[in-house]
Amino acid sequence: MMIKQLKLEEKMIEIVIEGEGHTFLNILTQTLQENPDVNFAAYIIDHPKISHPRLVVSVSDGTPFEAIMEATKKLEEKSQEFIEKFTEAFKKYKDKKEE
Amino acid sequence: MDVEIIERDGNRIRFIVEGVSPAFINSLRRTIMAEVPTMAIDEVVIVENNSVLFDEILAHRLGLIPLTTPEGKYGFSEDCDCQGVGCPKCNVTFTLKKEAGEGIAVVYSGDFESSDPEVVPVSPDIVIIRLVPRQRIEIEVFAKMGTGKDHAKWQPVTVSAYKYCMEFDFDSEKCTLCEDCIEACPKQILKREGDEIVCIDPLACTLCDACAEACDFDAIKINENDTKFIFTVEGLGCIPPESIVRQAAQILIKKSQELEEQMKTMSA
Ligand SMILES: [Zn+2]
Repeated sequence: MMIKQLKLEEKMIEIVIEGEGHTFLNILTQTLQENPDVNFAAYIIDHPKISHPRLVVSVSDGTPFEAIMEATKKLEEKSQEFIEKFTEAFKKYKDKKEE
Repeated sequence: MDVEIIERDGNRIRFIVEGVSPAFINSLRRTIMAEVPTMAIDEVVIVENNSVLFDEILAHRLGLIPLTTPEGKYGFSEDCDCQGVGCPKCNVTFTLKKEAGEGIAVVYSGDFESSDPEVVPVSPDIVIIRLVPRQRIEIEVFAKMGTGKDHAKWQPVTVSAYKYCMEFDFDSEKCTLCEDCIEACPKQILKREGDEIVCIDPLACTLCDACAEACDFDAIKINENDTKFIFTVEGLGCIPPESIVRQAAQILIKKSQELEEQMKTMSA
């Protein structure tokens, strides 16, 4: 993952995230949009084969960096929770099957 | 968030996830297909091949053989000390030599000799090529880690899909008990119980809406619950399916951490 900054204002940022695609950007923008301080969060991939996603985030409060970091933290926690719940469920299923 | 495993059989796992967004579950699905790494044959050295198959077709067939992948043992060639050249730390070498004697010989995936007993074809019975008398192949191939993003041969799964869970909405005041809906259901999961129509197996529902359409009185509604999903993963045997799911979630964590790290340095 390589980040290129295209534009930076006090409340807005535009970056290119190289090496990523819809897989990560879709969930990232959705998580950003859950934050009430975020006015606008969206990405675009100009050409599916040769372009890298361009992410624009605009906030009403705080900095766009803070908003992105909050979103990544949230996503991290969600995935971690999923792993824990999944592992637990799998163990339960296996124990039940062995009985 | 709630997870419940409903089936684990062979290379298949089915589970229910409740309390997540469609975006999260879709990212998980895409990660499973395109970013969970496996081993696959990537480079083929053909010493001799006088069979009817062209070298290119043979190489393509070899690439598609699924290989067992021990978790965490091999990394990507590009991240290795050899810088992508290929070394025993990131590559597994297979050799195959077979000649048809007087009769017809069939070359199977099991004929390969691997440099690592932990990385072998998932089944020894995959037919690679048939040889007639006087035909002979001798090849040396290198397998390395890769992801489905680059080529489908590195995909760890054949199926990675989810569907919304169904909510059966029945209005007993509108229902005339004509039982047309029971007839219409292709999965045969509706049943009459007294004066009510009930769904006996909501997980089997394909959300086709045939029952609602068959009802002339709007007594049935099929609602999609977009926070509850039935997820199916069917592996190829390279990695156990439960491990594929876990690895995919770990990849999402890694990506988030990487972006967070970058944002920290950029904002400083
Ligand atoms: Zn290496």
